[in-house]
Amino acid sequence: MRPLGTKVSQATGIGPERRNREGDTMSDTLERVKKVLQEGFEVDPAKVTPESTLASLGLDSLDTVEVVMQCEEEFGIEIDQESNPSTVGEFVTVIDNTLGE
Amino acid sequence: MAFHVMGTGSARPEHVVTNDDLSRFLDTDDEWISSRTGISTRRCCTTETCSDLAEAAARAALDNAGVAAGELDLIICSTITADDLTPSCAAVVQERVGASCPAFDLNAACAGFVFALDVAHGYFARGAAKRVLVVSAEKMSRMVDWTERSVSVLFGDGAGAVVLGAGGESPLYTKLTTRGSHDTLWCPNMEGNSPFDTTAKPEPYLHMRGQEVFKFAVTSICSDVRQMCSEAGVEAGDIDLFVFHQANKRILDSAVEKLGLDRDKVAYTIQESGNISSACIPLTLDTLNRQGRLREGDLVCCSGFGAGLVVATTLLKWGSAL
Repeated sequence: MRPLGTKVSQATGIGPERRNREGDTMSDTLERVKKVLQEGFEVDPAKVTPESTLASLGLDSLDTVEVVMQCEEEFGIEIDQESNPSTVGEFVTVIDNTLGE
Repeated sequence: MAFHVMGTGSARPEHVVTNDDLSRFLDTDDEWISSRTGISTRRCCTTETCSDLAEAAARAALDNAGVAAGELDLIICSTITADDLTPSCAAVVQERVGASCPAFDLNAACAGFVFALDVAHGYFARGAAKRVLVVSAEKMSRMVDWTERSVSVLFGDGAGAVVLGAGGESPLYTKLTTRGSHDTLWCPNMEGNSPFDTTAKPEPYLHMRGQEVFKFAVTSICSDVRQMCSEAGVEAGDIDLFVFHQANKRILDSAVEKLGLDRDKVAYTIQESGNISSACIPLTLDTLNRQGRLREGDLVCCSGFGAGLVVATTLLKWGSAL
């Protein structure tokens, strides 16, 4: 179900060689998750840190599913339902891990 | 041969249950329920049975269609909450309205009405029926755990029915999908008391993984509507009315936004009915029909989704036989 992996890597420059340099990938993914939160949910990016829970940013459980779906679209991936991320940092980790599969 | 909708009917129990009513025995409140579901009130059976609701909706649809029960060639009832495992709800309706045709139940959960339309279409296509009654009746209040706020606040009771006649242009498109997934949304059947049975006895209520259902529903509506437009050769903007299963206003809002639909063309009855499983779509059709909002030639897209997991989408052309 994940034929998009390669395409995404090419589109974003997050190839396997860069994924090893965790810092770069993490910050890039974080910025894009912030963008999803800003555009879809009017969350001020300045208030978002990796430790922020979505609840602390004013999002409820159904918003969380929306964030998952919008991240799937943004990154061209399918996020495992069981991963159940709740902080922004956990979202970034799940996305990076999925991209790395 | 295709069919046309000759008449519609619906029925709801008398007792109105508000969110404030629920907050008296559940740890919840109107703001929590309204913001997460879009539901303000729902109807719950007190003295009414599922068969009572089915019968009342069926009678209303027959009356609206100007068809006598004796003229029916088939009755299909979609339900997951029939009063009895056997006989079927459809058989009870057949007896009560005084019909003499074959009658059976169909279980496709919240997509049951659209599945039933497709089965009926098969009868019309092979010339086996001229008049078909499809009735969807649900008494969801007997299926949910009333001590569990995350599920019980979502559901209500009611029924909707249509009488279909041979001839016409419907359906212009139908697609049924089943993606078998037991644990996402399920309710166990009767336990019995067999001394030989050693299987687990799960709680006899509806179990739901809400977030998974939410994602499945939004994704399914979007992909089905896009595929329907592509295969039926219509633009979403050409469709006069979208009647989606009323599971949760947030699900509908999300799908409507992703599809870029005109909100005025999307039916919302969830606020005053809650989720009535397969009865949502025909009940909504009847409500709009009686408000005069359905006109000859209107393109009406009905899409249901639910436990199974199932999705069913159809495109009807409202109006009389050609």
